[in-house]
Amino acid sequence: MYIKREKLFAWYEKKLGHVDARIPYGALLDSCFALAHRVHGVLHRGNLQTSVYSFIGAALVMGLIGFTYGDGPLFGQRAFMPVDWISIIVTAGLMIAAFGTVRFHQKRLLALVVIGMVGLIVSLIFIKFSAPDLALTQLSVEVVTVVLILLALYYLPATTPHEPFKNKVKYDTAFAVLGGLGVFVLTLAVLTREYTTIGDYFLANSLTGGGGTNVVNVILVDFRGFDTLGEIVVLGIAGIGIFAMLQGLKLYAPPCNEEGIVWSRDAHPHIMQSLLRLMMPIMLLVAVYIFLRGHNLPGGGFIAGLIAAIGLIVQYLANGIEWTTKRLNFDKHYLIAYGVLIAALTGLVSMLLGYPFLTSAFTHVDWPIVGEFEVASAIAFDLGVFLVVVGSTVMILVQLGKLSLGSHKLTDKTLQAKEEK
Amino acid sequence: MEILIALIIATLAGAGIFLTLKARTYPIVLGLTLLAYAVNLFLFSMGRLQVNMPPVLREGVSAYTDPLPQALVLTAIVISFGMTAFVVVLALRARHELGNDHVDGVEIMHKAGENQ
Repeated sequence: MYIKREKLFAWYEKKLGHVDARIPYGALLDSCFALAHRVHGVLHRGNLQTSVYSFIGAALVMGLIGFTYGDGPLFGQRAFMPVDWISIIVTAGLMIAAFGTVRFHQKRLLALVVIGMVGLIVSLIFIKFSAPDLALTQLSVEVVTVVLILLALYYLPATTPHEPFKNKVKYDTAFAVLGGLGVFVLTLAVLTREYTTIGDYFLANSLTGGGGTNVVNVILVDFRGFDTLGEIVVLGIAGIGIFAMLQGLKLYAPPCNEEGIVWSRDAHPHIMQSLLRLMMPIMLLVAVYIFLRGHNLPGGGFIAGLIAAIGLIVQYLANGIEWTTKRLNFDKHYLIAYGVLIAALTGLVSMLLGYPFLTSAFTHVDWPIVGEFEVASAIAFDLGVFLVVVGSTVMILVQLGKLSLGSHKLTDKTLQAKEEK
Repeated sequence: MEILIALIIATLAGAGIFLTLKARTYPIVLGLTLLAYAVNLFLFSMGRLQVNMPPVLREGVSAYTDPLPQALVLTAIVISFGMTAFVVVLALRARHELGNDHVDGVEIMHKAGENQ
């Protein structure tokens, strides 16, 4: 081969010299790009509504295929629970509130009040069906969400204009009704069937393995701690993302409401101020109580974090951003960072001791006065959860509230400019 | 009772879908919130409905509801709050950058007004 190399080289030059892998590779790549462009052009037209229509349409079609496929009956044999009058009334109330949100969505403030009703009824449903932890979480999230949307509503138009397309409401209604119907059949199809659960494992091992009697909390901080770690990281990222988005944002704040009445520039109401300042230690005490009992009774890091966050946020609401920032002068980023750090370190410590990541241990300590008290390493993890929830919730709302400082100045300037003209 | 809960989830999902199809950011925030309620309730009901059986271990009680869907939904509630907050702030930022609250950043109302 080596001796014949010169001949071979010559042959190669003559016969295969023009073959270049780059050319077919480039052509293949180009056609891939062209195809991607074509698909992109069909699916993504810079119009969100078209995309949402195609998403929901695809879900409906797939649901229809799912329902008609197979020979078995659509509904199972599981017996229904008896219905009582209160449940019927609550269901009716929730449906009225949901329809009310749709009906009044153009009057934005009213829609917010009505959707708050939906959230409260959902937490009642959680209580009814044996989920006290969920009810507490839903209730406190509801408070925070309403404050959040209320703050944002200040910068958004007070009403939604009518849409210019004639038949859009009809199409939307058709999609909504079909979607609702599909969800109804799907839920009923599941609820009428018997099922097997791995929940019994958690119930059996919660006290012996995790050292707590509130199984939901033990699952969160112990059995599925890795999940929870991921979730607090997501919450922290959302908080920091919001912080980044709000940087340098100066929005025009309307000087009057939609009826032309100028906002009151009064200082914050005194009764609310003095009462809420008194309330703050009590609120934080409740948060600590809910946090400490979380391992054995409904409560835990998530709920306690939300309660503590509400306790801090109402101070901002009652006393104003400037007053409260002077007294609560620390960066909320640190809370998020320390929270994630503490939660992750709890996991790493168990690794150092030769156990898998996030293995928890617990022991009983006899404290003077307090009596027997259980100390679980999971409580450190829950503390991390608590800090992240407090940090991101307070940071989101305070950053949103701070917008008004810059915006008021902006509005005042615009008003002055108008008057000068 | 199962029919009632299915009715509730269906209403929430339907109302959520209707509002998500609107062209302004605020109804979409409301729609996503309603859809989140629907999804959370749906996931929760996967443990089937049980009355007076909270999964908190007590002496002499052996029947409890399934704790696993509850633990999953608890974090889902908090995460959906984070998501709502993110969408709300995105809407504010979009209003700042684009000068309107239309989801595509283009006021179609003006065009329609010109045509009339």
